[in-house]
Amino acid sequence: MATDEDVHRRPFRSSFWWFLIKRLAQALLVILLVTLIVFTLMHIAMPNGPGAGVLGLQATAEQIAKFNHDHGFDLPIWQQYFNYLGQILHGDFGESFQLNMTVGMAIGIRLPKTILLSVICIIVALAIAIPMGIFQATRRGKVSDYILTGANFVVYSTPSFFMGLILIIVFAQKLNLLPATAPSGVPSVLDLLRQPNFLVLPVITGSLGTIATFSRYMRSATIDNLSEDYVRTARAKGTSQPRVVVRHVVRNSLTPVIAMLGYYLPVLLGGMIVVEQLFNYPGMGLLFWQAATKADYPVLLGCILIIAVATVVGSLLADIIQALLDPRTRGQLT
Amino acid sequence: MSDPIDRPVLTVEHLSVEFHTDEGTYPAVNDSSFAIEPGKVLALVGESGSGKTVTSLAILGLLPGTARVAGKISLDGESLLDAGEQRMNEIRGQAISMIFQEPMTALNPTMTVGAQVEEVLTNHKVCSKAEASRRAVDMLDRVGIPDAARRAKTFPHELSGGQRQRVVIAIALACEPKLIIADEPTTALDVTVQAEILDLLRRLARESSTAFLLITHNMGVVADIADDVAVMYNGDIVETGTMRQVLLEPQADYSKQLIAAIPKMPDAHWDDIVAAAARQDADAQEMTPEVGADDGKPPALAFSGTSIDYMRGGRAFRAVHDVSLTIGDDEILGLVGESGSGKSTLGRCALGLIPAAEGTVSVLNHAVHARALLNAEDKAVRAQIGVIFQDPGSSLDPRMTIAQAIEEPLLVHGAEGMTGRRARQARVDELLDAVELPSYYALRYPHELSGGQRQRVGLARAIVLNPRVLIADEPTSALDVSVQAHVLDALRSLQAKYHFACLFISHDLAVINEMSHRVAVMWRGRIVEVGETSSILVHPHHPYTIRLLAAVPSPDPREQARRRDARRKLAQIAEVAELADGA
Repeated sequence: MATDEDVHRRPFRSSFWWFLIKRLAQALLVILLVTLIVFTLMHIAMPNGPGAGVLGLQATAEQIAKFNHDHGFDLPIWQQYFNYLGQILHGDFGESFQLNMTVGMAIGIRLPKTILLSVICIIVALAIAIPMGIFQATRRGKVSDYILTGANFVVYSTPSFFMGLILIIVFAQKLNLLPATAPSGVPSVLDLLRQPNFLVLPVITGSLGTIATFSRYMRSATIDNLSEDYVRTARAKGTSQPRVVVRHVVRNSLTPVIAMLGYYLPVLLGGMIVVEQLFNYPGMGLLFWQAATKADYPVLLGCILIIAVATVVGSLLADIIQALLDPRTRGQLT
Repeated sequence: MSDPIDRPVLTVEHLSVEFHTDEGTYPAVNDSSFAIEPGKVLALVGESGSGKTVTSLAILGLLPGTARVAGKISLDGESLLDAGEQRMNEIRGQAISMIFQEPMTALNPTMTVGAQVEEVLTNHKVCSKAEASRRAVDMLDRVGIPDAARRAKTFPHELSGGQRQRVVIAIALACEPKLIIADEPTTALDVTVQAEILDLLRRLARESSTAFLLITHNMGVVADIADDVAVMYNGDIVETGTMRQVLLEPQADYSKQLIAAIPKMPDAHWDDIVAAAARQDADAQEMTPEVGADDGKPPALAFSGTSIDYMRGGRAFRAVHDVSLTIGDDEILGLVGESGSGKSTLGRCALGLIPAAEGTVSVLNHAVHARALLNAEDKAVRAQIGVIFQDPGSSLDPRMTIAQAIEEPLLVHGAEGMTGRRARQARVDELLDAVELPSYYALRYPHELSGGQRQRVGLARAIVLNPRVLIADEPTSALDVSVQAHVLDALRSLQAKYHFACLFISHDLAVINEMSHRVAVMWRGRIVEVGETSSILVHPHHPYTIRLLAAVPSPDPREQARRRDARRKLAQIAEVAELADGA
């Protein structure tokens, strides 16, 4: 309840720090729930522990039982879960069954490459989608708008693995212009940057869907803003239409689009699983794929944890960016 | 000024505008002609859809691509319809500028107000960028924005509606244009703020040789600042003349109707009011508000020490403070106040939509509770209260026929003798007749009706249960004056027929005067004055009521001159009082 004294002083409970504390608490809860759900699902999928999957078809029942016992998979599921949480709190994500290294190391090697690929994809996608959305909005209902909208729907409704395959056939096999797979061995981020040829097809495949999605957002946000009263005010000042778009409309339209980006982060990371598998790109997506097919339980959990963190961080960033871009919501983060 | 004074700045000759759409061609303006001289204010008046705004956008060349414009528009001899887009961009903002109706949305929300004033200066290369930011602050200062240097760095949402409108005016003035088009510049503002903005526009028009094209539907605004008037109806200019000619002796039939439809107010005793204010009349300042008419009968609606809180950002905000007020049977009480005064909140509390934090609300001595789940007693009390809202467009369900909308309360309350279809149909017919709508309207849908007709349906629905109390919250604010007059007539005759008590909420003192027996004035959540309508509007006592009354522009130019004079004197008295306080 408000008292007379705190009318002038902004109470802590509506300050930015309180907002951050609340959101971080929420984030922890979400991550905890995600691990619980995934843990339960894995147990349902492999009720007898991952031993059979890890050791393969030749393994005897005793070997499987021994494996499960050694790794604690014969304990009750809640005990397994708490053991896992305890490990995480100590920064220990467990040991991969397949890769002969810790999960932390496996992810540590792969994650930067996925981040590299994602960041390039986002930059490329926005650099195309935002101007395209603005272009379409200013030519709304004209032939160019219809053509781009149609192309958008084609891209949007084509699965990315299919799009990737076509790109490989055309550019790698028929035209022989670009490599279809990443350099062999275990290339570092620097290796990848030195041979940008390898990145071209994965980036195209990874960003096409994003371009389609975000040019739609940008188009409708721009159309909304073009009919706002402030546009008429600016025109009445003698600002030309193209200049009104650049000076006034773009910033106002970008606010909701950039905010969407935060929520889009997990979608993008999910898309990377397909792209990396398709191009044999040595990132976290490929790691995830291999772990899933080989029942590499600890790696799988580690990857999901990373995606969960990315999700909550993304939505937190979305809110903060929105507040920074729109002065009306500044100081209203509660 | 080398031009002779009688040479018009703007001449519009035989202007016609048509909109070509996929569905057909719609004429918006037909063969209209008028001219404005330097330093003069021409008011273009008319109701919604008459073509006023289309005319103004045609002058600026800002009509959408579907418009076809014919005729001649010239600014100082230059034909604007022949000027290319590039030339028009030079003219817009520099030679002609515009003030818009809605100050809340007319400014870019992500740009500081200073930068928005600067933009018009830099667009026309009037001065350097550094000079522009200094001039922008000067302009903001000139239009009466306090602490202009600091305010220039704020964003529009940090300013009040009146201040935002001042920013829009600063933008319009920045390049010292030859013509300013003001499209309903005060319609979205409260009357006291409106009066300040009108003072500002009047001063600017007198000080400079700028011509003003004032677009408005408010004859009070016309009487206050216009020199000449052109009356527009259905795309045609039906009458032009000086302001006094048109307002006092209208010639065209439409102008006569329009002026007759404006709600009237009695002439206030300004000399007495000003004299009393100058004496600092002790009893006038400390008059306790009369609570209600005491005729021995239980009041139809009674507020007793009612306070109402809103939750805002997790904190309680007191919207209504300790209101005690009664409305007798068969009485219309007008509740007047500006936006945010708490008048609608009080009405919603009487309906049981929000709870009272302190005190009680009762209908015929039964308490009204704001519970989510109503018991039988609550429902019986609710059935005694009818309500009609402001917006006739959105307060009817678009998927219900008129008959369904009107009979819904009968079904909800399982009204006695109304369980049969026939009985309900008869009741709907009876009410449609009472609000003067033909009975075949029963099967129509809301979108097939005009705004005035929808508001009549709202009235019929409000009284279908024969309530003892009707809450009318700004029932005609969204309507044109001629439509408003008919809806008010319908409400008055219903009240005469069914004798319900009515809490009539409005911001418009003239409407209150025409409708209510008594009036209560609300200010900052408190009732500051209650009394007979005829006495309060002629000789108010509370300083706020006086300020409000002096701020309402009268459509009668003679009364308006007296009000303006009284307002000036009252402002001086207040200044003197402040100086005395300071000493």
